[in-house]
Amino acid sequence: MPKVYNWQLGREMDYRFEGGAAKRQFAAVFNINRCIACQTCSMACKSTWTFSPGQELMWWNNVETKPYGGYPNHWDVNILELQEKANPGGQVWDPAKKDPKTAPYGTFDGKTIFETADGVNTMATGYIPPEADWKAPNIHEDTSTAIPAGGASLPEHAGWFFYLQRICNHCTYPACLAACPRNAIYKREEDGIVLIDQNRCRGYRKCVEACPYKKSMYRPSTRTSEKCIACYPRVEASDPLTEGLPMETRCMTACVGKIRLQGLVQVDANGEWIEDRKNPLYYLVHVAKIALPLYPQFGTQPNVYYIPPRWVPRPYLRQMFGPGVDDAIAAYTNPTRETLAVLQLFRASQRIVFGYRIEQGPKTGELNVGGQTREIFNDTIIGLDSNGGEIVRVTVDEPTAERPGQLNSL
Amino acid sequence: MLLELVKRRRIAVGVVAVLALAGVLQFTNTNPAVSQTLYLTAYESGKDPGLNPSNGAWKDAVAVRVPLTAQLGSYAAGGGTVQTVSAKALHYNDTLYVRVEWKDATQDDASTRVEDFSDAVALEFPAKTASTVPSVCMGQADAGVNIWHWRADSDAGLKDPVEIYTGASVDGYPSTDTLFYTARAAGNPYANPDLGAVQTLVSQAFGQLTTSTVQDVQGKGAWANDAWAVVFARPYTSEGPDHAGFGAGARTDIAFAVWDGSQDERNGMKSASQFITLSIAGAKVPGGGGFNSTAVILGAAMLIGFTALGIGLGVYGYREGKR
Amino acid sequence: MAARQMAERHPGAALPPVIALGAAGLAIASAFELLILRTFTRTAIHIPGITALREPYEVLSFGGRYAYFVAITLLMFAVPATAWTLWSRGGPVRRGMAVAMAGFAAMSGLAAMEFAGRLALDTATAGTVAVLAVGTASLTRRWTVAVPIGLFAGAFVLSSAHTLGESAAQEGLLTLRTDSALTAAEVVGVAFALAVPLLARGVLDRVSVASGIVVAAVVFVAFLGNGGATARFLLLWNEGLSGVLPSVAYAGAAGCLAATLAAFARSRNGLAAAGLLLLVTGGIGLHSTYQSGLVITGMALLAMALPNVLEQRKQPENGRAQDRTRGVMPGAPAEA
Repeated sequence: MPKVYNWQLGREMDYRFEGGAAKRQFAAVFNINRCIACQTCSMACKSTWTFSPGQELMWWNNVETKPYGGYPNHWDVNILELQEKANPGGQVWDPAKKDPKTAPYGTFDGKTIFETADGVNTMATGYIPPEADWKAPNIHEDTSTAIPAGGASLPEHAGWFFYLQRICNHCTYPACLAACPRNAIYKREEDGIVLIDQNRCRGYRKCVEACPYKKSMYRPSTRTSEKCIACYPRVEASDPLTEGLPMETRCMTACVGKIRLQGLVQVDANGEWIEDRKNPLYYLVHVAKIALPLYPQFGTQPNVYYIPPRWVPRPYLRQMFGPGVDDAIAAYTNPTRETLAVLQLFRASQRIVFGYRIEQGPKTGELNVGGQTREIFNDTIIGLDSNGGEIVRVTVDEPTAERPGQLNSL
Repeated sequence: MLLELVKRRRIAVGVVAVLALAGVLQFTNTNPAVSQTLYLTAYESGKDPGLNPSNGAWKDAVAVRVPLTAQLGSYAAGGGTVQTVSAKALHYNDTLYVRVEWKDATQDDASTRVEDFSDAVALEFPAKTASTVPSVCMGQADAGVNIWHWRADSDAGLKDPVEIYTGASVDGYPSTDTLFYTARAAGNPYANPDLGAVQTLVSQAFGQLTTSTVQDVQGKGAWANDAWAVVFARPYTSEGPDHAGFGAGARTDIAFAVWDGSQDERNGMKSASQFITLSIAGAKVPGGGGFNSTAVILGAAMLIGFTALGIGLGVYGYREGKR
Repeated sequence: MAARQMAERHPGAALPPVIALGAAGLAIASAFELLILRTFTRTAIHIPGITALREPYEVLSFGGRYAYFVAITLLMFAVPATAWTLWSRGGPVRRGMAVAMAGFAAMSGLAAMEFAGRLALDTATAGTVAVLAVGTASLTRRWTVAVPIGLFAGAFVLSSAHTLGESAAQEGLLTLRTDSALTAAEVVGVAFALAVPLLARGVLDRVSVASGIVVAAVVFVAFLGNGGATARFLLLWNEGLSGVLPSVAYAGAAGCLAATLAAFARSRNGLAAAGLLLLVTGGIGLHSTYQSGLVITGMALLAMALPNVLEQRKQPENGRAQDRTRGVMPGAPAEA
C-alpha cells in the first residue's frame, strides 16, 4: 500500500492510493461554542438536496448532541471501539513529537482505520449502521451528563453537553473513496470535494461501511449510495445565483448562530496546507490553532475544523479532537487582536472569503477572562475574494443604532 | 568429431522444428490439448424451456455440480458461503438456456434497508473462444470476458420505501420526476425500475467491469425449498461488442459466481468457480433416464483395462519383491 | 532375455540423449508457461500501475502463450518417446507402464479429434497416473519411493473422481456425491509434497535443505501478507488447490519440493528433477490433456530416474564420481 503524509497525525500512513489529488481543498471551521442546535443548516441542506423518495433517512448535514446523541446512533463510539479492539491500548498520541508545520498536534502512535484493515477484505475498518440507527437523527437532544446541584462553572462543567455539527469532511484521504471497489468515488482536483459517481455506483455500501463519520448514505429507491456534495455548484460558482464568484454552501450560509466559515485552501502534493497567511481558514487552523479536526486519529485527514467547546471536560475533547485541545481552548478563551477580528468574518457574507486585511481601530474596552486582562480594540476586518477584491467589511464592535424615540410608542 | 557435429546439427534442426511447429500452432490458434475440466452439455430441448426455472423441459437435462470457492487475493475479497452450484444447459430455437441452482436458506430479494444485500448469481464466458481461457477474474487485457449478472432484487423490482413501509408518514414530495432519482437520471442501469433481472457486462481487466451497450440476456429466478433456481436465456448471436457467441456444435467455457445477500456478500465478496467446458450438442436431450451408451461403454472399458493393468503390475511387483 | 536382464540390472542406463534434452526442454517450457501464462498474465492486473505497462504486458503474455505451444509441441513427442523408452527397456512392469501411457496418448488424440468422449479420456488419464505409480513402486520396491509417488497419484485420482462423477452423470449414469473428494485430494496432495524429500534420501545435502527452508520461509511470508489471500489465490490458479489448509502446510510443501528439486539438480539427477518439476507444472487433478500429459511424462521420467537415485544412495562416493564424467544429464550413455 502506498504511503501518504497525514499532517494531522504528524506522520506517514498507509492509504490505498497515492495522495496529492487536489490542488485546492474545501475546508470549513465550525465554532461549537456558538451553536444553538436550531437545525437551520440541516433544513437548508434537506430542502436543497434530499427531499425525494428514498432520501427520507438522509441528513447530509446534521447536528447532534454530544456525548449521547449521534446520527447514526453511536457512530463514533462504535468506530472507536472497533479501533481499540484492533489495537488494544495502542491508540495513543505523543504530543511531544511536535513540529509547527508537519506535526502541529504531536504524533499519533496508534493505528488509523486504514492500518487496522487487511487491505484485501476491507480497505478501512468500519461497519454498516443498520437502518434503525439512521431513524432517530436527533436522539438524546439536549441530554446532559448530569444536573449538578451547584450549577455549572468554567473551566469544566460538572454536567455538560454540546452540539456537534456534522457534514461530510471531504477528507484528504477519504475512506469511502479507498473502499469503493468500483472506483465510483472521486476527489476533485479543483476543490477536493469528494463525490460518488451516480452512474458507476452499484450500491455495494462499502463506502457506508468504511466512512468513519458515516456520511455516505444508502438510498433504497435507486440502490446507490449518496453523500454531501459540498453544494459544488455554489463552491465552483456555476450556480447562476453566485454571479461567477465562489459561494459558501447552503448549510454554511443558512447558519443563524454564525458558527460557520467555509472556504478553499491551497494544498500541496503531500496534502499539507500551503502557507497562505491571510486566508481566514489558514489563520484559524495553522496560525492561531484554535480549530481542530474531528477524530483525526481515524486517519482520513478530515477538512472540517472545530473550535472546541470551552466547558467540556478535556479528556473527552482530547479523544474527539486530539491533543491540540488545550492550546485551542486557551487561544479561544483569550483571543489575540487578530483572532478576534477573523472570528467576525463568520457569516459576514455568502461569498467565499479567500483573504483578509485588518484596519486597526481604537481601544473600546477591557475584559478579565480566566484571570487575564484583555483589551478590546474596534478593528475592522475586510474580507477579500480570490482576486483580492473586497467582499465584506466588519468591525469587532457590532455597530448599534438607537431606535428613534417617536417609533417607540406605536 | 564429425559424428558429434552431425549430432549437434540434428539437435539444432530438431529444436528449430519444435519452435516452428509451436509458432504455427499459435498463429493458427490450434490447441491440440483437450480440456479435462468439468463440463456441461447443452442438448436441444424438445420444447421451449422459457424462463420459468420449474419448466418441465429441464427435467431431462443433467446437472453438473460445480465447486465454488471464496474470492481471494484482491480487494474486495471474501464470501464463500455457497460451496456448490448445480448447472444445467439446453438450447431451443437457436437460444442458449442455462439454469443454475444453489442452496440458500434465506430469500434475500429486497435491498430496502442499508443492511440488506441481494442474493445474486453470475455466469461468465470468454468474450471470444481462444486456445487458452482468459483470467476468470474479470478477464485480461488481451482476452475479455462476458458476464451475465442476475440479481434477486432486480428480479423482484424496484420500489420506493414508502411503498414498502406502508405505515410511514410522509408530508409529501415536491417532485418525483426521474431527475430527483439521481442515479436513475444519471443513467445507472441498476437504478432503473424498467431494468430486467439480468445485466450483461463486459470486462477486460480486474476493476474494469462495465455494463454492456447491448442488453440482450433475459433471466428469471425462483426461490423454493431453501434453494434458488435461476434461468438465463440469450440467442446464439449477439450484437453486443465482446459478447460471447454460441452455436450448435460449438464449445466454449463457462464459470459461475454466487452471492448470498444475508451474509453481506456483494461485489468481490462471493463464491466463484473456475472455468468449466460448455459444449452445445446438436443432439436432442437424451431424456427419460437414458444414457449415452457409447461414452459409457468406452469409459467402462478404460476403467476395467486400467484397473486390471494396475492390479497386474502391483501383484507382479509384490511377488518380485518377495522373491 | 539377456537384454532384459541388462536393463533390470542397470535400470538407468542407455537413455537416448534426445529424450533427456526433450525432457529438460519440456520442464523448462512448462515452468515458463506456468509462471508467465498461468500466473503473471492473470495476476498482473493486481500490480499497481500495471496499466501503464501495457506493451510489456502484451509481449510477456504473447511469450507465455508461445511457451505453452512450445511445451505442448514437445509434449506430443515426449509422451510417445518416454513410453517407447520404457517399452524398449523391457520387463513386464515397464512395458505395462508404456501400455498405459500409450492408452492415454491414444485417448488424448481421439478426444482431440472428437472421436472419444470425456468419460473414457478422464478414466484413461486417472488410470495412467495410477498405473505409473504402481509401476514405479514395483520397480523400486522402496517405501521411500512408494509413499510419495503413491500420495501424488492418490491426490490426482481423488481430484479426478469429482470430475469423473460429474462426467458419469452427464452421460446419464448415476449421480454420485463426490464433493468431499476435492478436499481429500488437497490434503493428500499436500502430504505428497511434504513426503517428496523421501525420494531424494541420500542425496539431500545441506545446501538443498537450506534452499528448501528459504523457499518455505518466502512462501510462509507470502501467506502472512494480506491475510494470505494473494498466496491462496495463486495456489488456486496454479495448482487447483482451494487453500483450505493452514498456510504452514503450503509453506512446508513448497519448501520440501524446492529442497528435493535442488537435491536432484545438485546430485546430477537432472532427469529426476525434470520429472518432479513436471508434476508441479502439471498439477493435481484433471485440467486439460496438456497438464495431464505433463504429469504423466513427469511420472514416467521419475520411474526411469529414481532407480538411479537409489543406486547413488547405495554408493554415494562412487556414484557421484561416476556422474561427473557423464555430462549434463544423468543416465546418459556411459560409453560417450
